Amino acid sequence: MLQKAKVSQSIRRRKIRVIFDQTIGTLSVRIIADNPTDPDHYAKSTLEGISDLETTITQFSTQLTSVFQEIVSFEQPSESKWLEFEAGLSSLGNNIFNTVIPRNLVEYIRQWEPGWIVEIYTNEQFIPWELLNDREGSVDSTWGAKFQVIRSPVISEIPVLSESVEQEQEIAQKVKGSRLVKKVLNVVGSNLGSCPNNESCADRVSRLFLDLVAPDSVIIQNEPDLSDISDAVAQSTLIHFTCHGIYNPVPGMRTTPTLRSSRNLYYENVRALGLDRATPFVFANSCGSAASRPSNGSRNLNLGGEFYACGTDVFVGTLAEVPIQNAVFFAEYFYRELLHTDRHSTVDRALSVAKRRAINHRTRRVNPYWLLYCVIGRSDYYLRVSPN
Amino acid sequence: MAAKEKIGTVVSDKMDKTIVVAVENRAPHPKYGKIVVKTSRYKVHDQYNSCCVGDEVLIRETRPLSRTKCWAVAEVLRSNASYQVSNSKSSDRDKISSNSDSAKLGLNDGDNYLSMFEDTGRKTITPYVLFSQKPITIQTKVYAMENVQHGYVHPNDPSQSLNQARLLPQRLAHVDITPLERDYTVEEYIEQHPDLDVDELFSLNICEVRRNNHVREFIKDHPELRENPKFLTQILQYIPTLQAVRKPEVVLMTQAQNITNEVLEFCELNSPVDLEITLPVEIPEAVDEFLKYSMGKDLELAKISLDVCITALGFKVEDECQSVTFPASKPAKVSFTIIPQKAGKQVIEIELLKSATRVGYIIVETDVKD
Repeated sequence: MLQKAKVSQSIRRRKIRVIFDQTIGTLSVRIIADNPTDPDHYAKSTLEGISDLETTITQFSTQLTSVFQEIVSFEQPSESKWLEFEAGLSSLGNNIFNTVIPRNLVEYIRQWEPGWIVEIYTNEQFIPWELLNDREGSVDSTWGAKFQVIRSPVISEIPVLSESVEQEQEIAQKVKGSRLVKKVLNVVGSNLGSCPNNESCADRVSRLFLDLVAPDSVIIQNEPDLSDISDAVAQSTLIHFTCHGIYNPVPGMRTTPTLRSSRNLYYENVRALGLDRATPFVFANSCGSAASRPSNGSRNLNLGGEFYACGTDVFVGTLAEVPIQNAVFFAEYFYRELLHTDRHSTVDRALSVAKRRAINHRTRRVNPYWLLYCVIGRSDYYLRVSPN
Repeated sequence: MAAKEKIGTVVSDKMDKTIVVAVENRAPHPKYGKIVVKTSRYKVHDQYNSCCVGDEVLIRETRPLSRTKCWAVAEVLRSNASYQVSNSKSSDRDKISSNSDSAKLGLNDGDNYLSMFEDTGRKTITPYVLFSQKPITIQTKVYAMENVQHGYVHPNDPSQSLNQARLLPQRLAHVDITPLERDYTVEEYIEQHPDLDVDELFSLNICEVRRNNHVREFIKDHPELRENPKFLTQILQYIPTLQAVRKPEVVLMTQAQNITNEVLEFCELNSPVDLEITLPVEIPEAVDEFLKYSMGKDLELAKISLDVCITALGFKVEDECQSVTFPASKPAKVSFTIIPQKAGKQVIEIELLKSATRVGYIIVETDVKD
């Protein structure tokens, strides 16, 4: 009796397995339900003849980014302007949804209820899953608002670091106990501007972890070079970047890394950081840090996928430009939940709570920036803070 | 504003999904007429833990959500965004530290914890698979899965469920129901409260958990449990059986012709091979203890159900997902027929899923020769 009551209240889960084969132009989508008796369990369909899917999605994504940028540029949009934005976002999200979800799966997906966990196991990195919208007309049906979306990359598509069996065993030893937050690397970018109350955002970000974990476990780096980060990265449990990703995002989600200064973190230099496998959690709170970009003209990659391939369990990033003040607040909401000593929230739940707080914040009608945050990696990951 | 709505300030957010909201009421004193301020405190449901201390919230009356909770957050009117970082108080941190014992025991995570269980009837123990999610790379037939993590209790993490299971009977054993329900035993209390939310009971601090007490002592201290299969069953329903699928073996085998079941070091282009996954199981000590005591009480282990899915981009695969159900006492075998389509080093990913959650993850590397 007890069980029945609890199970009925529990959050449901769906897994979507997506395999994109560019050579033959197919996108295979299969749903796995948490209850085998659900009608959508094992439902599968394959879209064919879609070799240009990447281009199509990229065009939609670019338009979406433009809408977001326009929203950000308005301090106080009028009601009519807001409705226009909403219509634009939901329409574009719906277009992407219709492009990537086979028709016979649409009705199943529309039955999924808000709050469910949707894990996307996928070998592509260019579909902005969090911005898909299964019902045109309302931003509330955007997946990033409606579900707890987690992307789980297929490793076979990412060049994984090659390790011997001995190395694997060594890594396994390191990984044990890696949930305990022992060392936090807080990387603060430059030109962060000012936050409310005439406070410098850089100062505020610097204090981000000091009241959440033991202060002596936090290393703060202000405007470091990548070499500085490399030196400090060893044995970090958590790395948080603020504005240290793509400094000057160009319009469009697939920004091109034209600025190759030693301070920009691109997927090309993630591996050069010498990331330890015992670094399970990375949050790149910078514009477009999880947006995919072409690598050597062949495949799309993003920072999240690269960190994941380097052994990171979870990467949190953004799909497009996020105003700095909002980004700082969002990180505060997120870590307050994730590093709460009593709650032991998982990453997906912490992100969901942070989004909820962002929605409840009074500026919500000005900027739905929180839709842009996404998680790549394990959904059930959590961190533990030592009470001492 | 509707009659059953109030505006107040959050004064505590320590509980999971529950906040305490203080509402000020100003009213003239009945005798002296002086305006006096009375503060009422309400326990309020906060589904997403989205409120923090200092937030001004609109709360709305709902159906009773627990013994002391019948209000829910309707809207956050003014957010105290700077609470946690700028103004996070050392006193709060101290409080949290002092609660660290309960934090370690994961007392406030009832929803997620219990959501892992299936309702399989009163006389069956539902198994839960203990496995590591860390990807492990193996080269064809070489395989080791050693890094199952232990040592910390977290209800959302399958790999930690074993510890949770070990702790749960302790939690149930030491429910201190005073001062609210002094006249009941634990068993009677649970029986008389069919909708009792055990975790909420804990979170309301009407119970006490005594640590460092093992299952054996627990049973010894409570001989009445041995005589009462109903309660024992009830406890067992909360305990995932946790057969640990410890060291799965993955091999590539010849599929046809005159050679039978030869283990392959590499594949040949367009020659079908069987990818065979063996899942051995073991029953953890804690569950074993309970099973011993449940002898003759008609209890049995439920079967383990898993979905096994493979992603093999360099191969042709007929059906990439299979459901497998097997008894806890026997290892299971799952086999996929794959046909190599691309030469060179190829990767096959194997996911073991329970209720759409990945509980095991294996990466197989093999060479495909032209």
